[in-house]
Formats: sequence, structure tokens, C-alpha cells
Amino acid sequence: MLLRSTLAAVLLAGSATAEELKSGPQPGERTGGFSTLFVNGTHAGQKRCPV
Amino acid sequence: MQGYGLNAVIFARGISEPLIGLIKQMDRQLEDAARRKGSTPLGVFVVFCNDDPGLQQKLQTLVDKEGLKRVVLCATNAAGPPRYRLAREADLTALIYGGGIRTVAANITLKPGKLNEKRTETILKELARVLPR
Repeated sequence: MLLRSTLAAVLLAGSATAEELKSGPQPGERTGGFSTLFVNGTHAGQKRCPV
Repeated sequence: MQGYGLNAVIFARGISEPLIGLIKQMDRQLEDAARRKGSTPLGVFVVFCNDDPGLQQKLQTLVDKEGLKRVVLCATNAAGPPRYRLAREADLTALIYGGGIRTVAANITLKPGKLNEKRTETILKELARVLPR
């Protein structure tokens, strides 16, 4: 019984970790510039850096 | 960015109904914030990372149809900016800026199909923290 519940807890913890996904700069990080095409706004139709 | 403040950059893979809903709500949020404090336009940019050659036209249609006034839609290639290290599995990476120049205050990353009402609310709340009150 104890073994079964321990196994279930390990499996749940594993699936929670698998749900986490890191993408892009994290809180506290400073980001650099990049160029992208602005579709609307003041610079519509131009390649600009938003940051 | 010259002419804009920097409040958020949201990288998205494609156009979806939940994302359109988020964009519309952010647009209203920015409009309200701008009314409270004018001068420099607030900067929320949604950068679509997609190689679709018709992407620019689709985004223009979205701007016109939804009457977007504040949120700026942008287009770039599917990989996105390399130095941002966007995960391939991420459908949406929302960077909220605050607490320093070009400094990320919050990062909300979602897999495909995970942008729901609750997540939308989370992003709007994080954005509200860095907008003028």
C-alpha cells in the first residue's frame, strides 16, 4: 500500500515537472534588441526594435 | 523603443481565438491606462513568429476588424529572435517588463491550447502591475 502511494506521488511529481516549460528570458533578466516588422501603430510597415 | 514605452512583448506562433481575445482585452487595458496618463504611448507588442508569407496581411486584417488602437502587432520568422531562446514547444511566451530598463518582470509561457480564461486573466493582471495607475 505504502509502495503504491509512494509510486503514485513520484508519478504525479514527474508529470507536474513535465508540464513546466521555460521559454525566453526569465524574470530579472535584461533583454537585448531585435528587429521585427510593425504591422500597425506609429511605425507601421517598418522593421523596428520594440524593446 | 523610440516613440513607445515598453510594457510587454508577447511572442505567439499563430492567430487563435483565445489570443485575439487577449489582444482585445489588452488593447482596452492600454486605452484606459493612456486616459489616466498620456504622453509616451504605452508599448505592448505581440510578435507573431511564423513563416506564413500571408502573415502580414492576416495581421492587418485583424487590426482592421478588431479596431486595435494600442497594441502593436508585429511579424517575424518562425524561429523568433535567437537571443530570446524561445522554446519550440511554446505557443505563447509573454514577457512583462518592469523594475528596470528592458528588464523582464514576469514570464508567462504556455503550450499550444493552454491559453484559456484563467491564463488570460493572469497575463492581464501582470500587465496591470506595470501600467500607469
